[in-house]
Amino acid sequence: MFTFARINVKYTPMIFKKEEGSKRIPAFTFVLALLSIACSSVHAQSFFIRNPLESMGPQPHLSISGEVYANTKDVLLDFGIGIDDVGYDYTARLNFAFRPYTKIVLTEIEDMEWRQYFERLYIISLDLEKRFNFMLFGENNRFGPYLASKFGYFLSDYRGMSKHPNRGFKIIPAAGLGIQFDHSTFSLGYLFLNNGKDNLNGMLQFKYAFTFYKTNT
Amino acid sequence: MKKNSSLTVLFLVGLIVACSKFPSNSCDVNKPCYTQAPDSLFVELQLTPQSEQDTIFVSFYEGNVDDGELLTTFTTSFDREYFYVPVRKRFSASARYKRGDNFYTAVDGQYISVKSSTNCEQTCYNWDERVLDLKLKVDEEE
Repeated sequence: MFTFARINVKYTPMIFKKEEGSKRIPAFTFVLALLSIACSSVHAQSFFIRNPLESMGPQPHLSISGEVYANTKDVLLDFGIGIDDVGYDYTARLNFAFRPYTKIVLTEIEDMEWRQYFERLYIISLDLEKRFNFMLFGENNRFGPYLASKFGYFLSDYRGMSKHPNRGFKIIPAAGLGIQFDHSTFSLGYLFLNNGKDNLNGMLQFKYAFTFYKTNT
Repeated sequence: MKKNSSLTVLFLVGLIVACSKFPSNSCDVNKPCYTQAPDSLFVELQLTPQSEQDTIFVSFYEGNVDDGELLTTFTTSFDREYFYVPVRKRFSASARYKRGDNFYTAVDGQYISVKSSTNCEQTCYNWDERVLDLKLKVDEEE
């Protein structure tokens, strides 16, 4: 057993100013931006509509991805490596996501009894994505919606606590629009983080993926 | 496209090298250097009393709040409290507030670490800020 000393200091009242509400940028603006990029690329090139379920046979390639999902209360960064099948338009990646800061979480443990924690969050997940590219343009560019899901393990950690009630396997669904330029794919969509009732779970997802393969040029 | 892939690989390698930490043999005589490792350090507990009459119930633990050893409990209306504690141990604290009809307990913990580095061929000891943030965020949002 050691000795420890407690020292009091003079009371100084703390004054907090209420911050003005931040202006929200609607997700629709991002979708419009994505469509404008697609349209500007299409402008001088030929494009055609195709059946999005039509495949060109299996063409699996190594792929890496970087992803951000965010809302007004939270931000997570996500990196992955796996397979992108450009023939069947699906990807399977192993991902690691983390919150780049410690978030304050307020939890009601019983009636009128609240707990405030500092939460760190890490997610290890298997990400599956199916793209429904209905538009082809340029030499090897595609555009269309996607459906995705992360099958992940949440590794949340509360500072000063050994028990972490927010740990466990969770499914994180996502959907949105993607545009593919040769090796690069940009995706923008909605992601449901499924991180408990004390968090704002609806998030905007922005993803960049790079697929390694040789083009026949 | 082959050129593009090579550039990407080169970029990734460059990024890894740039982010890597290499031991340095630099010498800065103006840099403060504590040559003796401290046995104990101060830990600051930050609180948010609404007034001088506001009573906050504080518990201080060695280890974590839920499975650590309770060292002391006390009530305070100060916005800061300090403990002088041994290093290389984890300490945690909880502060219980009453706001209206609701009770709020803020929890925080930290490992009190001491790091060492070399400057002018001398071992220097340094440490991070040791603050347990028990400020109630609902007070800040009001």
